[in-house]
Amino acid sequence: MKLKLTVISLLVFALFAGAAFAEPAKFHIGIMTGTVSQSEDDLRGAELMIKMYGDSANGGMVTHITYPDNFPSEQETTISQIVGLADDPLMKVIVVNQAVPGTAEAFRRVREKRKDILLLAGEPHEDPGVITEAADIATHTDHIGRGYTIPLGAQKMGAKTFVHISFPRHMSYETLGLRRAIMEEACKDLGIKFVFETAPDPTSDVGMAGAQQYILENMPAWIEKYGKDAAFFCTNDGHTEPLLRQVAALGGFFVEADLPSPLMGYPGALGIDLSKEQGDWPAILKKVEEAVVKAGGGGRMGTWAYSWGYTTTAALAEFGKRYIDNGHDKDPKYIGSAKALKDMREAYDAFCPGAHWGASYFIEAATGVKNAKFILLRQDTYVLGGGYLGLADVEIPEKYFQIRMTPVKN
Amino acid sequence: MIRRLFDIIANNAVPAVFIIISAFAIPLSGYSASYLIQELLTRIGRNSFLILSLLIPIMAGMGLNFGMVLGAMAGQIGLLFICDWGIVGIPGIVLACLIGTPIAIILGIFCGHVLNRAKGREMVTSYILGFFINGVYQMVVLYLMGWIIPITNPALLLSRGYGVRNAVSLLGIRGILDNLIPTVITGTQGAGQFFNAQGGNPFILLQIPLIDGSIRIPLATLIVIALFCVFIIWFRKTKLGQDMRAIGQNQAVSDSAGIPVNRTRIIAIVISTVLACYGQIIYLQNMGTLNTYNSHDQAGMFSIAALLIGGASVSRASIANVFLGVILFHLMFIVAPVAGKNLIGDAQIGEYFRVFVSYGIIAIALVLHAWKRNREREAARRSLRGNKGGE
Amino acid sequence: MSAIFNEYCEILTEFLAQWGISLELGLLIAALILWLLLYIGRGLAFFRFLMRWYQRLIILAGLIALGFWLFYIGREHKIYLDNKAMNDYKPFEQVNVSINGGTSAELMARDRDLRKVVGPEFELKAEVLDDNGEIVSTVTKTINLGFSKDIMINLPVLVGGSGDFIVPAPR
Repeated sequence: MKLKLTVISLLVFALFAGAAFAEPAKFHIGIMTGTVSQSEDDLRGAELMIKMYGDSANGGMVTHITYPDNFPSEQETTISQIVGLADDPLMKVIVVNQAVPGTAEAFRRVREKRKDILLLAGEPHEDPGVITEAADIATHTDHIGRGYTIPLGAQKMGAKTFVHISFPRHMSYETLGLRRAIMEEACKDLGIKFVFETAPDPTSDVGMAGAQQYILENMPAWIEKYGKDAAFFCTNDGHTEPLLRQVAALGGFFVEADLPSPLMGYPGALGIDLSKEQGDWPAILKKVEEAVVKAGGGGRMGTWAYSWGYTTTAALAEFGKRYIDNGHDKDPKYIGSAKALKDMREAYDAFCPGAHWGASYFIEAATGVKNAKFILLRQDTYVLGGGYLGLADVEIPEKYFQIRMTPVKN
Repeated sequence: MIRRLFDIIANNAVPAVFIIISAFAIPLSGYSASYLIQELLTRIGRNSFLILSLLIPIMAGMGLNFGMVLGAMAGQIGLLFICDWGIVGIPGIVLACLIGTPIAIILGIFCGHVLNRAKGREMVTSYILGFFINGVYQMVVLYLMGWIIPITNPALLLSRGYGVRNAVSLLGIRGILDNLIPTVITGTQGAGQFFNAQGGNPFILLQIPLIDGSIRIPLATLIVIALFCVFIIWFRKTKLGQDMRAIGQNQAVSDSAGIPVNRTRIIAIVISTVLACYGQIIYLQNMGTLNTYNSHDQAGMFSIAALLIGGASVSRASIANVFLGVILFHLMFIVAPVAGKNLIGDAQIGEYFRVFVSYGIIAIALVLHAWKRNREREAARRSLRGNKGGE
Repeated sequence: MSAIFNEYCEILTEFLAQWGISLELGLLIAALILWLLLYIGRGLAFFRFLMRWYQRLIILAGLIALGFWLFYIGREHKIYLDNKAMNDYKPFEQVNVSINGGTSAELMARDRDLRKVVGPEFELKAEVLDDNGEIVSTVTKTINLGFSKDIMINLPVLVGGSGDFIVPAPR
């Protein structure tokens, strides 16, 4: 019975095995991302890696799996999928982007069985202390550094006022609330006026349409109130689109979105059709730039040239590959060293020709202890119709790491 | 004769379908035997207790108790408290049970009273009741904890001063019960290099040459589950158990025989809720992280699905159904995504394949059950008419 | 087989000795419990037995006491070890501290380290080293935390012999 099944499965394998690579890979890289419906960019990054290094089923290097769409409730599936990757004796690197809840536990289980696997987590949903106790390296967008660089970018673009648009639910999140506190402090130091404006929460009863309507209708009044040299920033992705449309039409500045990408807000706000450029980031950027300049927003609106999710998946896998290729797995002191930080930065740069990344280790605000497994990254801001601002290499002053989130009065 | 054969197939259709699909999916997934056995053992230890808690209400004719989610929430509240106080190890687990029990009893009594007012529609009522109590739970955990209910641990509390964080790490009690009696099975090679999380040597080490790699057995958890099975077998024979079975057969007759129907039904739900509370604590000590607002969400759904797949019905379930169900259902969860991926060659389609197969079969199980019940009812009617002598 | 049985008896004797119970008495109690279980097994007599309110009260009190006991024995405490100047005591060049015989923490002057212990009582062993790395003095102390949570121990004061070496833990 068992023999028969094996034969059948072998036949099925043979049927679906495509063009085999000439020489089977020496080790495998396991990548877990969301599906198209959850996080498309992450998945496209994994597809790029398969294109570059081949699918492990056909003798290549990459094994790609996905976590459930309903990941908060189906932790068990996430865990057993990741642990399942470690069942492959050739597996040397596991990348999870985004590291949804359950990743830390899955990594612990992998660790109990296999000490030799490099475990990398992109955009972890669990607390820094929890994820890095299990993972080797976790990377996150630099919510602390960007609290300083975004106002700095606004100043470089010529803004006199900084308008931060958000609402109480978002401000109760640790990362978003902390970033707001840092922005406020940074504005004070840079001589910019900081203003906080409240807009409706799209998940509340007004819905997404109502929240967008509110931004559209209030922008003329805000421009009137704060002048044409005000920079606008919003924490909610839904607010970005109407905000961009009004900034292009009425004036003001827009440094970058909460999760910056050329695809964030711009296609919807300016009606850009990008179906042909899918996955080709320089082409997407060029098309978005043309549209922005045409709409009159040139030099006043910025973004990251490459998507965060896409780059993270690819860069972490690339980092893992170089880690094994260069024999860093023999060096117990490598993780947490300055060299690892530099290598991570180079891995990110490799997928972003033209753009640069700034990287720093995370410092816990409460204790002041450096977490050498948690890397914060930020991409240089690209001003559409104006070029890069050169924010990636800016040194973040020490004092901003010590700012704590102020309790929000609802 | 043909009708008899048809009955046998119809009665076991769901497990049969699952066994056939698994038989195809296992070799397709390409997983090693030791990984599959390890995952299955882990999941039996993790989920059986939760599923066993469903048996008693079924015995009392109350259908599948979707209200077990209430017990799961009570268990989570117990765990939140021990995390805040920093109680670790076995005392932590026992204390969490101790705190969870009164909450589960109160919720169970409430649930029982509501269900007594909705006789015959227990399943849908308890399902909706689960959502209602979920709202209350979220309010308690998100607003009252740290404000009215004292919670001080900064690792637990949102930095705004009230409300519990989304993910709570349960490192202090992680795997405590599973590793209480560390037991490992290894093949001929793996014995020397095996290490466990604490760095100590396994207490019991078995060598079976057929296995490649090593398998860790959650022996203490399995013993607890076995004791629980003994409890259920014993409970069926007590007066209370007999009463419940009588009520499950016919409420009117039981009532006229002097059995306090409403009270007995409430007791059945209370026992189920309390056991679900313990079940959730066992589940989470294995998982190692508590997803404060989501961990209980699927507890009821998955347990019920597993029980149905094990061949149980809304009116009849045995211990064998529980174990068959947990093995088949979770086998599907382990192998389906990778099998789908290997079959079609795209990772996300593997994920959709899993969702499609797993939930599709749950739906089939429910439809088959309804269909079977209709057939039984029809057969009963026919036999009744036959007794009166006329067709 | 009999060797395993003998070993088991020894472990059991040791276990029971904690409460001053001999093996025979232990077996007697076990038999009693078994009998009680069988008695319960006869039916619902046990549930009716529970119905009396004062007996319920006793059981409730017993459960609460059990809760407190679990809280007492199962609590994890963070022990901060501090080698800093306090009062008139100067920090040591180096002091090695081990708790409950675990791996020792090496503290240079003005260092602070963290260890975790479970349970109310722990034994602390501090070895003071001089410039040449030789042990000058060794202090062993058993500390009972009771129901408190985290503490900080100032080592110079502890070794110096003064009583108030326990400082509130930093938050």
